[in-house]
Amino acid sequence: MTPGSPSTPAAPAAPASPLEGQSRWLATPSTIAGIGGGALAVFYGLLTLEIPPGTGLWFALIAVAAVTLFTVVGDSVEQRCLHTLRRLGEGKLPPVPANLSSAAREAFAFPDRSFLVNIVFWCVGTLSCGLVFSLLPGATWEEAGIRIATMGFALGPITSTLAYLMLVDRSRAAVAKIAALGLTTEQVTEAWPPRRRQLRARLIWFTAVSVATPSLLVADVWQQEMRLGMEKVAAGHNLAERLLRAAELQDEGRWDLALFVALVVGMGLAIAFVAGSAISRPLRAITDEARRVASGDLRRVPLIAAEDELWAAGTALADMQRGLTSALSRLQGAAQKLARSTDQLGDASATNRAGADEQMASLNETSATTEELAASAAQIAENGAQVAQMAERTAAAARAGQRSCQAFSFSMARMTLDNDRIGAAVARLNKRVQQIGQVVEFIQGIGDKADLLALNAELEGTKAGEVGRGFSLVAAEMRRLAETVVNSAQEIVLLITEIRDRANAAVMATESGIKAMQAGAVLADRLVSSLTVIVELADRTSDAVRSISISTQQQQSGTTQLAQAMSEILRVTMEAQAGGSLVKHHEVLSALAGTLQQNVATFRIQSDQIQAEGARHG
Amino acid sequence: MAEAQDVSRDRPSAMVAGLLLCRAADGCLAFRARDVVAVEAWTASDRSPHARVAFGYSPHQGRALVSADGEVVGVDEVSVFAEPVTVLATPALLGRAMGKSIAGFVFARDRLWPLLRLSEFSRFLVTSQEGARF
Repeated sequence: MTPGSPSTPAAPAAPASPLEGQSRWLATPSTIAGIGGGALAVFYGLLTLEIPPGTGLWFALIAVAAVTLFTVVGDSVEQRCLHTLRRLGEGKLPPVPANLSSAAREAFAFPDRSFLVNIVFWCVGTLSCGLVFSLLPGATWEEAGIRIATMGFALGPITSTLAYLMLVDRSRAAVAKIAALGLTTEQVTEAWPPRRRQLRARLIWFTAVSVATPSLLVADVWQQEMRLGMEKVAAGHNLAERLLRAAELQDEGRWDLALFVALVVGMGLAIAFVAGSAISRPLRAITDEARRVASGDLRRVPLIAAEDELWAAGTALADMQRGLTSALSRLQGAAQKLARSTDQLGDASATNRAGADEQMASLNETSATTEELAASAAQIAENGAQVAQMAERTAAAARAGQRSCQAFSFSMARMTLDNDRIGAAVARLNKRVQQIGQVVEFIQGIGDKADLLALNAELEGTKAGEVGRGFSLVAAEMRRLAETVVNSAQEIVLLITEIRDRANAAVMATESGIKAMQAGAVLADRLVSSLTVIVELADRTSDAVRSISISTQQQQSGTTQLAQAMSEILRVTMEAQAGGSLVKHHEVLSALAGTLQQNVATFRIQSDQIQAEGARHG
Repeated sequence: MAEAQDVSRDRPSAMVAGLLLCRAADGCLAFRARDVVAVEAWTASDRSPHARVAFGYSPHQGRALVSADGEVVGVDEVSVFAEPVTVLATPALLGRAMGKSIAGFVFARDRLWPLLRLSEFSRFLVTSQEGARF
């Protein structure tokens, strides 16, 4: 087949598309296989068919016409399957990724479609040939038609398989050429995802076709020859003639049969060879690329066009290369960042070392302060407990004082009542004393009058001289008695006066005492009220102090834990500072960063890939 | 005794028996018992003279000596002395100075007592009080 179209000579000179004639070039093996298969079929028919006399030319014409017709029609159908590729080659479609993807998809699918077209046209062609041949005079459908159809069913698969295997190689080349126009491996993979896994079925089919078909054809040809030979021998009139014919058949050289068998076996071997090549070629390419990646060369894996599992392996290898490239790019970036961070860490570690010393000193002070705080908290908790006990005792004492004060107030009230009674009794006594004073005054008056009478009597006795001497003596004695009475009465008056003064003083003292007791009762009431308030406050104080004591105990526990934590922090800090772990870790980290950069540098990654990955991961 | 009484009236240096020994403040007075009709109680409302005035003191409750002509002299205490004592004479000047109320001095109970005439002494006290008033 000649690529290109003869109907466009008047078009202005335009740059030829790289895909020009690709569709025709791609379909050429199918046409060749069809023509070759047709020739082989004619050869097979000549060998095995009993062509009636005078119909040989017709047989040849029918065969040539069928081969020509179905080759042209099949080619037309195949070209339709390559519609986009053909239009791209003709320049009717721009080579944009969408069109290229569609063309790649057509190229990938073309071998399978061509195989299907060939099988169908072989079946239809042989059936139609058999039907037409059976219409010739002397030929029957049972004799010639069925054999021709059988011939088609036998030669169709092997021819189609051979065409398929030849098309596979061209299909891969066409896909590579299409991808070279602007499709990445990812886009090709997206256009033809590796979904179909039919390699095992294809190998079974290849084996079956390459082994069974030649065997069947050879056996059929041999059987047909045997039958014809037996008929020729049996046609002899006697035994000698039959033996002569058998000897002639035995000596007859059948180069045509040998040629046919050789052709059929050659086709089987060709199928095996081409199939092996179709499988091994992408495998070698995949192996080479895998080795390249394994050696550290992570440049982009070229498109390895293949089918089924091989295509999946190729795309997986490309994905693996991309993944490795991405990972290594990130790793490279991370190594660079790690190196920078390690440098910064080195600077920071030096700063931290100085800060660690200060932190150590601060931690020492803090730990000591915390221990003092814990001791103070323990002392506070103990004092708090004592204060709580004191507060409880104070509350109890306040309650006892309240009860005593209430009793005192009651006693004061009773004493006030008693004082009132005493005052009343003293007043009555004073009145009685006054009455006694009046009586004594009366007695004193009587005594005074008696004294006066006795005095006058003595005076009269004295005037009487000796006569009145005795009278005077009696009167003098009476006068002394009267004076004694008056003096005694005077003493009684004095006593009464003293008693009255004392009674008045007692009354005044009693009244003063009553007033004092009333004031004391008021004070006692106030004291009771105050003590009630004090008791309430003491109870509240006791509760508050108890709460404070509990809180202080909790604080003491927390402070103790804090002191232990500070001691632990101090111990860890001392160990860290003594070991210089940060500096050691920085040195180890620096060494690791250098090793990582060296290892990453052994991989060869394309610069555009690094930039793309860097842009993707910031 | 009657003679003595006469003598004591005319001659103070004669014997006298029956005296009333009186105290007025810190002063001592003696009266003849026969000059006193009665002894009564003296009160300030009586407006009768009191012997304390003669000693420069204010009157005080005590006894009132009543004479036969109704003259009264108040004293603080009165006691009866029945023994006969000698009346010692007094200078005439003193007699005149006291309005002839003093009859002499008597020695009784271990001390010397001015013997006074009750009526004259009462009038003397009244006169002295009025003169002191004017």
